[in-house]
Amino acid sequence: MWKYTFSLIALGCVLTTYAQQLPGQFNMGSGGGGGEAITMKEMRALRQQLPKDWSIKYVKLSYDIMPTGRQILFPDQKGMEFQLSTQFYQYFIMVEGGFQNITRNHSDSVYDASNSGRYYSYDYNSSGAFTRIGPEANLIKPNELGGSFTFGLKYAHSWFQDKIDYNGDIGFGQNDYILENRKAQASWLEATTGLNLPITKNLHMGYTVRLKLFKKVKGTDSLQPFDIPGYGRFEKNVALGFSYYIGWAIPFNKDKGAAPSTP
Amino acid sequence: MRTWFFLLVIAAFACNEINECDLDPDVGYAVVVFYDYHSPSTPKQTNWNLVYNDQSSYYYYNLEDTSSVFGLLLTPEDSILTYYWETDSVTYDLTFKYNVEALKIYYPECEPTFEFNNLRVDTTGILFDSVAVVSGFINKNVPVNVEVYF
Repeated sequence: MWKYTFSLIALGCVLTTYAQQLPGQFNMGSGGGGGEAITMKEMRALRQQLPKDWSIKYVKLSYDIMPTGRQILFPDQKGMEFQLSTQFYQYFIMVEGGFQNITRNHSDSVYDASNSGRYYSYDYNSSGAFTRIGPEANLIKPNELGGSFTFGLKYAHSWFQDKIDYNGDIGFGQNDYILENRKAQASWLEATTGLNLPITKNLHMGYTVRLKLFKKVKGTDSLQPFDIPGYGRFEKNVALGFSYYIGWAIPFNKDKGAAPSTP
Repeated sequence: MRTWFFLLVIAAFACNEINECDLDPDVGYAVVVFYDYHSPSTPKQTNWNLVYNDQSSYYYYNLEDTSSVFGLLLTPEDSILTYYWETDSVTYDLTFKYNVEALKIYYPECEPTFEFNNLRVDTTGILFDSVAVVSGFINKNVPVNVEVYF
């Protein structure tokens, strides 16, 4: 349950922020202003009249605080993740990357049917880097407040190695089994949705929820990986992820266009 | 907003995993059942002086044990293992061949387990009357791997 706690607190924070800013944002985004009631048809018509600006206005570098939070709660789960993004009108190109180093160990006594005890222990380590790349679409038109609510699709790839040192007696005496995958790789697709709002002119905060699908792993042999950097548990064919970003937008041209709207 | 947040907390609890090691389907043994060759419909209770294999100093059953079903441990060190069933006059043997697939951690709280698969039996020169491999898959969902008639 601990692993969800940090995610929920972070999610709660951004939803609270979003709720406080949302009313004005939508009206400005639709061109209505002042909170006047208009129909959806009218709003769409107004949107069509807005000029489409496809120029790059900024590049934003974001830091995902979730791996840091996990590392505080679980010191054996080290990691860091960054996101580089830029906006083309209502669309974004995202490049993400990070690394992860997870150590798991356990030792225990096992009692069999004859009530005789035996002891086992293991040390497992998985480490590697990962990257994701793909587009996202903002469902909110570019607006002065720079908020965004996005859906996206990303291709992800991970390069990792893992190793286990297992000491146990499985009926052939107490033995040490040391197995490793030195050059393993995994790839998968991610369907994402995210919410992002500016805190100051350049400082942005927001979250991304990820649905990880179609995982493929190669380069493993006699050890089945447990943790795949960037993906999560190997045995899951579908995995969920959550990132909470704090980003800094670097504008290209201060005189033109609206403030950055970044996922 | 509060309702949504409350629902999210409930959902997170609902998604909490059950870390039950017994749910791991992989087992490190093959199940061998003995049948009477002349009455093959019912398992045969057998009594052996000793049951052991060629890669361990342990023995698995002795004179005090009577059983028709044997769970015979497989070693990950090799992909071939011979088991012996010893009586006063004859020592029967069966050589098992199998694939050692991988070592895996089911849950961090559980002991790592080896995955075995593709179990075969070398029937060359066996003293049992008949041997049949029912299933080469080795996991909890397979009740019997090998049937031995004698």
